[in-house]
Amino acid sequence: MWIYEKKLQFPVKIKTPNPNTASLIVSQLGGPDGELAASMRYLNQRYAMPDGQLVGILTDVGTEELAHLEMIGSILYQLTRNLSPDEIMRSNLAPYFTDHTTGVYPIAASGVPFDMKYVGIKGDVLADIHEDMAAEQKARVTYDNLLRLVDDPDVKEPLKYLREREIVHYQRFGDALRIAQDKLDSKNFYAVNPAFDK
Amino acid sequence: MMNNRQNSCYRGCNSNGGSNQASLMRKIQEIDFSLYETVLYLDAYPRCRAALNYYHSLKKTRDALAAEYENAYGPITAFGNTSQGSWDWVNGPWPWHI
Repeated sequence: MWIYEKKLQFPVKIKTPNPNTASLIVSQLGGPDGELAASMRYLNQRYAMPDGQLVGILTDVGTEELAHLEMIGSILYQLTRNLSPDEIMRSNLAPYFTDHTTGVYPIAASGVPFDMKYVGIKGDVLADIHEDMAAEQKARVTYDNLLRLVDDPDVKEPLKYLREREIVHYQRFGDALRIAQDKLDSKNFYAVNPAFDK
Repeated sequence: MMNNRQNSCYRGCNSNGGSNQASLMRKIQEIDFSLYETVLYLDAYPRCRAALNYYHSLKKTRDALAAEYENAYGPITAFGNTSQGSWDWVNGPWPWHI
């Protein structure tokens, strides 16, 4: 189970609303490499892991992703506070506003709603850990792209923090790959999936 | 556009986001950053004695700071409602309001 902590992992305090910025950052809520996809990927991959250390890494990284989901939600909430209908009409947020007002809805910046199609859960230890390492890199690229497009330092600071976390998670999944490989039968390295073949 | 009504809910709350509250929360966020980083590291290197010692020293400070915060400003988790007379968990500010 999970227990909620009434705090953000990193402070989000945005003084100036900006609907255009919100329409881009929403991708890290519900886009292909966003925080919801990350948490669903790791938390649901855990059951196929044959080793306590691998389950631990997926549990703790997956849980941190939920905290990141809340940071992105907070950024979106603060970027869309106190906007007038006219300000929304003149921004890229107008189509989103039509369906969701300023509610926080997981969707990609391109307009595609959140979809588990993006998320690899293969039930195979090596395939899943490689998926996770790639996912962290893709999330890091998305933060790089957002940092290229956003000017406001109030918005950039939490985005820079989240970008750094992708790199740390990539390193821990690198450790997970090493742990998995150390514990697999070296003679059957790719022939056996310890989650399925006995 | 829609937050005047919401903001008025928080006026008169016993935890209204004063600067002491924010700075104590900031300290907890900082120590939790170190703690969570150590947790992830220990998952991968569970036999690292130095990391385990670091975890325990951080945890001690974290527990003291969290108790100080909860006594002054209300619960951080729903299990941290120390008041016998009121259910403070639902009082603001919630994290995105601070």
